[in-house]
Amino acid sequence: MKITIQVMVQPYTYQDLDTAVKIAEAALKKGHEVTIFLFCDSAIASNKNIKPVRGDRNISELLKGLVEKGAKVEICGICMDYRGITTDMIIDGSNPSGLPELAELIYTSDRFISLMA
Amino acid sequence: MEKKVLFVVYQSPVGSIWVNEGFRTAFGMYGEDIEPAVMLLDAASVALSKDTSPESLGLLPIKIVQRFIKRYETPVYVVKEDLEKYKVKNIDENFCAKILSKEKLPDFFHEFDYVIFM
Amino acid sequence: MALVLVKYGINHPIEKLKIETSKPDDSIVLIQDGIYWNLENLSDLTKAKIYILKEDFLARGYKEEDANYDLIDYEKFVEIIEKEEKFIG
Repeated sequence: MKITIQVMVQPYTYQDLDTAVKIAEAALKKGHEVTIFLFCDSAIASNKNIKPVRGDRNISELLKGLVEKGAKVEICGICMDYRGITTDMIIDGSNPSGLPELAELIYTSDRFISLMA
Repeated sequence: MEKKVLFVVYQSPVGSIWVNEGFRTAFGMYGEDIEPAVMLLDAASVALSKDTSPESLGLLPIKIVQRFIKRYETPVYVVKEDLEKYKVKNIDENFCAKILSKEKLPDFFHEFDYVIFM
Repeated sequence: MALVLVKYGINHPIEKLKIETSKPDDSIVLIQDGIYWNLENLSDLTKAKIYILKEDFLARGYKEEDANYDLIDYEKFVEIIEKEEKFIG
């Protein structure tokens, strides 16, 4: 199945990115095709310059790990612009994207999961 | 096959971005075979008042969405009980909002493939 | 029918509405602070099947025996995603 998971709120302040990563991992393990769509403040999670204190998880690294396992990470481009995130800052394998791409994902996915703001 | 998607916003139209984002996202759906709709729930219902003006604080105005509602004929819904709770008066007809009673919501939500709260 | 995802706690008006508007053949999954709805008598609000994400429940200091609804792991969560075509959340 093609499963898309949309996240809207910022990493670290809330648990949503962690939840999304864990759903994605479990879905990938079952052979599903997974896309994470980062919308609004969740776009911050794509920044590979994120530097948490020792002992905390590195969320952009977790997303990169998902990409390496075959997941897609799409980031709302306008949301990136609003937050000063440029394409050279985002994790390898992720894609600046937008509403046309979100619409396509919503249309073509078998399941769409969203973590509300 | 067409998909029906409802974007539900519930936070205040002044001080948070979600009413604007809900509409913007809905309008972005028209490139695909998707039928989007927007629901203004709870404090978001205040967006319908002619007197609500985030722009008075320098924030992004809401009324800019009205011309797209007209152009795309995007259905907009609001709950009667929310309008009463927040004493929303002077409703701006340019949102073309349809008023539902709360008891209709279970059936209403289940008419859609995806109900996305923002 | 629908997967209803609840992630905020018991004082959140919208989460209450999501639970109240669910139907008997829906699956409600309580995640994150949504697990606090375990403290409420949800049978007064809904006839849907209710699941609690075990990891989020235990992390908030509760024990397995405190759960009034089925505890699930992420694997089972994905099975529910597979089963329910519609999504409300």
